[in-house]
Amino acid sequence: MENIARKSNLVRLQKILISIIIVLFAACIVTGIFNVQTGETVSFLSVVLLFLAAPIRMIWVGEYFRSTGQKKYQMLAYIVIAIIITTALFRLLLQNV
Amino acid sequence: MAGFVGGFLGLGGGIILVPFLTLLMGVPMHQAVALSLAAIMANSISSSNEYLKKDFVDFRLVAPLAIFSSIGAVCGSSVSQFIPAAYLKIIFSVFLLYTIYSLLKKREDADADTGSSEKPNFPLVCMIAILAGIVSALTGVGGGIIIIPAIYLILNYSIHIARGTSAFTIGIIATVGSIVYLFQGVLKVENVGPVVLGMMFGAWLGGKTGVKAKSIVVRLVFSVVLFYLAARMFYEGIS
Repeated sequence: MENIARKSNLVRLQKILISIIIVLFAACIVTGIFNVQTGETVSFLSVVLLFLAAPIRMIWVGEYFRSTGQKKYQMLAYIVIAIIITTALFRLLLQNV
Repeated sequence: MAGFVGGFLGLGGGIILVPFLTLLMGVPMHQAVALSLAAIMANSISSSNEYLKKDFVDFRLVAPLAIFSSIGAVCGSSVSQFIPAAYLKIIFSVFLLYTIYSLLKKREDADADTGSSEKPNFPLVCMIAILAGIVSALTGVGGGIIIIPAIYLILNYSIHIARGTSAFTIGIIATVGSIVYLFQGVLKVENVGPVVLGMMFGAWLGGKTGVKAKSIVVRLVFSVVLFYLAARMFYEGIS
């Protein structure tokens, strides 16, 4: 039961993420009808949030393993975050070269 | 529809979304794959929430699967030019048929809701993930198609845990691919909204239905999806 209680925080976190993503995407469709540029800006923001969802979730997973004292899995969760960040930075660098 | 099937089975939904976008909407293949990856990220957040509520996600599998399947995918794409894809697709379709047989075969604890309380066999999980990444890169199928049967059949988890863990993990894996497509300019930001909104609703509905479904129903539906994929792979292989 304790396990589920801990995971319920993640459920709440994901619900917040889902709500913000839905509102942003709905807003981008509506604003896009009146002003295409504003619509694209809002759309870009929603995509960025969609991308951030994975590292945010993995931070939670890492913290979950830290609280349960499972260092190996905590490290693995942080490696996943590092891979995501490195990929994004590497691509950004390639684009600017 | 793609969201519902994906959410119900713990898959990404690309198996339905990509053919729909390319064949019916006329979207170029690489753009359809990029859109599909973005949709998988949304699907994962939406559907995994339902599995989390029921404690159907084993976090000990998430990070190793995400890391090692990415490594496998890099290895697979590096050697793909040296391996004839046609033979590979035929072999993979036969392997899928065997997976269907194994999935439908009655297992004593097949209907159990719980996962293994023991620590997962770490080297085995890594090997499965690498293999899933390689096969995924060589054949173009999503990771969930390989990960779910592997967790169920090899790691001996229940089909519910297999789906829940897959639903959570595929979103993490899809993020890396999506980042690459975004910076390449293949992922068109303006097209993401409608696909993501539809996918999120479908995945939520699929996840809600999926957690209530009996193990045998899930395994049957999963087998139908695998059979469709096996037939498609075989056809592509021989033609």
